[in-house]
Amino acid sequence: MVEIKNLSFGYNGKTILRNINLKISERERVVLLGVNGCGKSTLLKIMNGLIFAESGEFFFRGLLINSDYFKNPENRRSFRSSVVMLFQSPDVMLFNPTVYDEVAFGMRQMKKDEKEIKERVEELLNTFGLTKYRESPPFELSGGEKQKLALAAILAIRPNLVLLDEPMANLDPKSQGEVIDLLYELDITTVISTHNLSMAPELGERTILLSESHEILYDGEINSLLNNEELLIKANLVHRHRHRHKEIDHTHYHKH
Amino acid sequence: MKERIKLLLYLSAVLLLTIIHSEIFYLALLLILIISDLSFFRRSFKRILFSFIVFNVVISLSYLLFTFFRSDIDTGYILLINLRVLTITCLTFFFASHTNLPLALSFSETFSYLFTLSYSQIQNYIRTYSDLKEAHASRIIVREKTHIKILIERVINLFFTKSLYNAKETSLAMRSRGFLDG
Ligand SMILES: Nc1ncnc2c1ncn2[C@@H]1O[C@H](COP(=O)(O)OP(=O)(O)O)[C@@H](O)[C@H]1O
Ligand SMILES: [Mg+2]
Repeated sequence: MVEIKNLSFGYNGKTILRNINLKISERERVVLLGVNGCGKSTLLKIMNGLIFAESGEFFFRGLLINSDYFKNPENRRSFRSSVVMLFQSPDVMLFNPTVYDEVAFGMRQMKKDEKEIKERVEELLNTFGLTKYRESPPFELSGGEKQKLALAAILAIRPNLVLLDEPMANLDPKSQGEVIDLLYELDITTVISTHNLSMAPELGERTILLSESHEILYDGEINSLLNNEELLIKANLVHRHRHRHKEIDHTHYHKH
Repeated sequence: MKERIKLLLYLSAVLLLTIIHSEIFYLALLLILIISDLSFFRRSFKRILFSFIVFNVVISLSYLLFTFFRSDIDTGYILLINLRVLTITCLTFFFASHTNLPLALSFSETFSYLFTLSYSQIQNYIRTYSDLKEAHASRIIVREKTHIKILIERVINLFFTKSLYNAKETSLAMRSRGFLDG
């Protein structure tokens, strides 16, 4: 479904992604793991066709996605109704007058009929516990509620590939559990970024680990990564700190 | 120390530019600047031009507006202030890129603190703005005219609420670090 070949990207001459190669098949659930600043958001934006590689290629369903691709409105329609992204800060995603309109936004562009739109919106508002805010302006919601609303809004159009940038960061533990269950039930391809190692196993089976030098350090089963302490230290995902058990003072690595 | 001398030089140059009303002086200074680091000015050409135009439009327009009701519009004067603005813009860009500002301002804790604060604030705004544009692009399936309007409204709205919120947070943070208590 997704193929990235020898892709590099930089901001103002600073390398943010270095020679990235990966393939993602339909219905795979991929976790993009790495510390802050390693390039997770940037890679997701590339897969969402928002920014384009400096060198190398990104293919979606065999089509090369670059700025020329989006010059054709038909291409845009097909890509944007199929690949969606949840931004790290949900604030930037919400621009409709009410919560209802926010969720209906995508389907209206796709010219679905109002009855179908209404059913789908009500269903999603209910799933995310947002029904009571139906007529409220999105900016009045709390951070966690905005996160859920943005998620509802992008899922409304039934996309095929969902890119989620640190979707758990703004949520309280209860909502985290709900969203994890919900994502699990969706039978679609997901790429979810996180800097939280302990969250990774909940979000997918395959993990792609990015290093601080912006390269792929590991790509495979999450469990064998969890046992590879050396790699985790290299990615700076575990850290040493001292603590005391009764009278004995010692240090060891922590996976949090 | 070197950084502080640069700051002093910069401030005196700006002062001179505002008290001396001579095209020759402005042109000479401009030329010296550009020759002293040609590659820098080549690289920053677009940025300088952009801020020059922004200032220029504001200043020239307000001058024109001001003299609108009087019949003596002085085109020579407009030229002079434009030249002055261009020189100051180039000087400022040159200074900012050739000086370690926090270091230059380090004689005053408050100054360097304020500098870092506004610098990170600006970075923050630029990042939010590009995120906003990207998020908008990401959700537009079919382009329509009204979408641009939605984006502009959103930018204004977000920046307004964000600025208010940031200003509150910043002053709280400064207070918490014992800054505003005098
Ligand atoms: N719009 C931008 N302009 C300039 N630099 C950016 C921009 N967005 C991100 N960066 C920089 O790119 C690096 C990687 O950022 P990002 O992809 O957001 O990392 P992550 O999501 O893994 O924390 C960071 O150093 C960040 O400062
Ligand atoms: Mg990020």
